[in-house]
Amino acid sequence: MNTQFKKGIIEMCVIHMINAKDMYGFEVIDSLSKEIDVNENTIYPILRRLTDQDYFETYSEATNVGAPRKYYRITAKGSAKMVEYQNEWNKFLKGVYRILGGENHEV
Amino acid sequence: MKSDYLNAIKQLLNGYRIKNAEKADIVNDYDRMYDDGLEKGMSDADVVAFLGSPEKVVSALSENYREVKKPKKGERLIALMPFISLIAFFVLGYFFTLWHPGWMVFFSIPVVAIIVEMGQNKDRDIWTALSPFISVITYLLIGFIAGIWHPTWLILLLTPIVAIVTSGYNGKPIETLTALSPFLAAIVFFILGQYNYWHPGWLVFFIIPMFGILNSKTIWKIIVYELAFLIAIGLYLFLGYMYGEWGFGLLAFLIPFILGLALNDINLVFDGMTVGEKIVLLVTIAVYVVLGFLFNSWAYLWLIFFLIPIYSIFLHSPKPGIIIAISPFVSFTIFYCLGYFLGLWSVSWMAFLLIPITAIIVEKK
Repeated sequence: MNTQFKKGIIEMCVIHMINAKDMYGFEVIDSLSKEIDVNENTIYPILRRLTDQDYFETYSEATNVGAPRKYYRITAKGSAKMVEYQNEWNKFLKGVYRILGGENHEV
Repeated sequence: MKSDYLNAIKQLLNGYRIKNAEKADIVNDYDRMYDDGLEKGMSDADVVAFLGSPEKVVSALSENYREVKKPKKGERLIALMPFISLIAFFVLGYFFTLWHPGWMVFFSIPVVAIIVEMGQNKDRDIWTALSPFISVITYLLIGFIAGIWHPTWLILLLTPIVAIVTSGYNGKPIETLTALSPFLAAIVFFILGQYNYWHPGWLVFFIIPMFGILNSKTIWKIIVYELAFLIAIGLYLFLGYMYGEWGFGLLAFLIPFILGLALNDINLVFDGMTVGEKIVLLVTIAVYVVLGFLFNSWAYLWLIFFLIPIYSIFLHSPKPGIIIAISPFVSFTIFYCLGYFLGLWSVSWMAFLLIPITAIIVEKK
């Protein structure tokens, strides 16, 4: 699969996951890599970039061992982006299914 | 293990333009993620495999950052060369009154840049890049000091020769020789011309097809063709010298020509050539041969062959580039005519400045 295309999908998934609940870096990577065949080292840069773009904000929470954990929380801008992604994705999939399997396929 | 991992990331991040606070933040994040992995029961090796090696981590992060450009070795020297050459020029001028040809020190600017840049990258084309300067400097020095402008200008052919020798012909001596043959022939031709052997010195151009045939995989063909050429040349010289029948002797070259037709190696169908191009080709050959015999104009009339590429350029090239494309032919014609007819070899080389000047003017328009 095209790398850029895959990156776009991962980005969408990351936003979706953080929208569902606040998560810390390792947790995001762990959860995502269980579901999708992905290079784990590509997820952290996405988290960082989305934070820089104000789609996420971070806060720290102390742990029993080691440094505090950094949690990612979705912002209003991030939520809007997620809806935008979702709409684009649905539209895209509908088109793909129409081409691949006729009108009977539903997203 | 963890500290090594984090240190490696830190070191690699130093290769990019990232603020220290941001760098520390990234390292802290990986510090925390590493601990998370260990807490999950992973071994150090598992964590590294999971998070990615420091190289992969930083490579993935690097898309968002600019690489720190480390100053290359010799860059300072390149930057200083204009000043060094200027100082050298004034020193040569004021203390030794060598303003001329002292100005040639300015050639050191591009020469040093090429040596530093290409030498560092071990670029095998370094000699091709240097050859124009080497040949021009040698040509001018021999010209200025010894006054032997002609046929020293032949050294300008060094550039295509070096390019051929250093290009993809490595390990293929026959192919290299074939590619070199036009230049070798031209050099020998002009040197013979220097001793007034323009005719029959032009016969040296037969080394082009004679080397070309050596590329054939059929041994008997090579032997037959080489013999045909040798017989034709021998017959031509025999008829010329013994009976003065140079014109009639040209018919001897019908031997390799007919052989080529018979063996289907010469194809008389000029595919892709327009009627105009065919006419230009035939007319230039006819004019060269006829006027050559009538006025013994072999030494300079070969310039007429430039009409063939010039006509094709007019026909096929996009309009804005036509003048630039024909400028080398015009420059060479001016260079050769001024040198040959007026003996102005010492200044006629300046005709070559026409090429970059034309390019600059046309491009600016």
